[in-house]
Amino acid sequence: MKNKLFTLTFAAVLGLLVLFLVILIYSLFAQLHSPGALKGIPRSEVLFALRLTLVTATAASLLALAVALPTAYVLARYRFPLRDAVDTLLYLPVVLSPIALGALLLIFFNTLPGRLIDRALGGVVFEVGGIIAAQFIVIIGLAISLVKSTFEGVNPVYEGIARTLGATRLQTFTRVLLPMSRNGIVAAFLLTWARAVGEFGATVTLAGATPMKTETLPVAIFLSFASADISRACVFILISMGISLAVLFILRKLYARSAQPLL
Amino acid sequence: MLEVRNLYCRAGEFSLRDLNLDLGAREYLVLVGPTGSGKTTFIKCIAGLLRASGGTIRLGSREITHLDPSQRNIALLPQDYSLFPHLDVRGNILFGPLARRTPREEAEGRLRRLAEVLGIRDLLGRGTATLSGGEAQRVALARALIVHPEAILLDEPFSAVDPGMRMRLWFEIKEILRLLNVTVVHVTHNLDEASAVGDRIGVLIDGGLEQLGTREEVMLRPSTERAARYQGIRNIYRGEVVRIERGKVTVRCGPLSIVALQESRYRVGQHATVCVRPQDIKIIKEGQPLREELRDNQCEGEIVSSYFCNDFCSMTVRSCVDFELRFPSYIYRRHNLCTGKKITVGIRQSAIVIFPALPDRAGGQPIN
Repeated sequence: MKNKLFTLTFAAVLGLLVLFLVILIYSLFAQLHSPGALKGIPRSEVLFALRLTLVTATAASLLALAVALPTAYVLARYRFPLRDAVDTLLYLPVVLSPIALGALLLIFFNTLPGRLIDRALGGVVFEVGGIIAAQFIVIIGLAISLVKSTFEGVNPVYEGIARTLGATRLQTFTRVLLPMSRNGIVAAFLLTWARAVGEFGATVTLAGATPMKTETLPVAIFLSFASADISRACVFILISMGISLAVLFILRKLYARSAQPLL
Repeated sequence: MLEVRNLYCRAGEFSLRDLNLDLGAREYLVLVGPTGSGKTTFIKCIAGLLRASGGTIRLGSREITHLDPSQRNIALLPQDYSLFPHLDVRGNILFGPLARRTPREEAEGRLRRLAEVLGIRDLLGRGTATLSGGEAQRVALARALIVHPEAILLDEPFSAVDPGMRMRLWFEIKEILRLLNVTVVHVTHNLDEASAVGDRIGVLIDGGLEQLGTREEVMLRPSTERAARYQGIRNIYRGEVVRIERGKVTVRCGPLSIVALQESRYRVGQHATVCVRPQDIKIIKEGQPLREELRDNQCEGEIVSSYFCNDFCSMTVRSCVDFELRFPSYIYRRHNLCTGKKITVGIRQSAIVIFPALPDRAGGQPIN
């Protein structure tokens, strides 16, 4: 009897949560189905926000992956003084509020080195470059953490064998570790990309919320609500949800092919 | 060929200490030892995967102690073979030559020859996940040998093979390695495996080389108490030398006196440890002429337990001390050696091993 009650209680919690999410999604579609809801939403604005989001999220994720691969390798394979402190510092962006991260970037770009970098990159603050910088700083900790876990999941014996067979460290990295970590790295890229797509706090702080300039999907949702245009916000929410579901679907597929859980 | 001098190597809390050994060209050395004795640490240190904290390693005329693993030309066959899962069999075997930028044609030629010798020609297009233990072992061996290493290190190479197949592979792999003129260091915890393939055997315990010698020296005459215990010998008695005369030495171990052949210098009063393999304690049959080598060491006792393994029986006889005997199972049935039966046992004098007792272990008590 007690066992049955336990199972029923836990199942009820799960059922209520699923029901709640279904109601949330239903209310979105109900709003979109109301008469005249989609009228007056310029297609160009939707496409701009979508394109800008996809381009900036992809650029930021690729950049984050390029930085995460060597960083995670060093953390996963070497022991050195202050390693734990470095590891903790690199994890900071994962737990720090995105607005705080954006503010930190804004303060940095107001310093002399920051201004020089801003000028060298052709404008970052309140520009499209700022969106990429904001997304990068928000996702880099997550990217390093995911890639590091993937590398740690590969038995170093394989790399040792490659070394005894005459492979250099670079060959071992590119011909053994990277291919063996492929699924984990793809999963890390997708997760960080999805996180970048949904990034708002740091973006709005560093790049601002200028319509048709730095208007990513989350910024567009924010601007729509700010102007009380609920239907327009719902369109952007729907697109964001579609992207998230697609990413989750691909991750599930990868999970099915991988021996180790990716999520 | 491979010369190890005063080697120290640390792996976490564990360390190898003051290890010395010489290995001739094309020699097959087996290092045996219990789990955690440092076998894999030794292999990794020789391969360059762990840094030696002291001592030197020379391979031929080169000192390789601090060389990168890729520069040593020592191949490694790990315990689980560690075939690269993202490459097929051909890709695995060609990994070394391609990393070393060996011309493709030459690499393919080597691959064909090795595949022929190892009998894996039909496996070349297969994925590594589809291979059996024996097949994976051969592929891993081909991958290691294709780079023409000066020595190969085998880390528990038969642990992933079915027991039924293991014994056949011992001899096959040894024959292949002999054919290819490779120097081999093979580590295992299996004494039968070590006996079957080793030209010489080293006993590694707690990071130190306890004994190094031919198969007969190590298996028949352990040189230390720890080496004897590792072999599972329970007939070990500590005592004191009480008499030396006519080439024989008598050691009193509590209530037991053992007369052994004098093989080195002892002095009366010296603490000593006596060790007898269970195979060297014989049952003396009533009414039959007594063998000369059993005459000096006879004891009457009672059988207190018997255990049967595949083809032998292990028996404990309680006399003034406990003796462990081991003999073929048919003997048990032929002489009706049931528990409680009184029998007389004799110890083969030439098989008795005496080693000086360690200072802290000296004493007159039997310890089995």
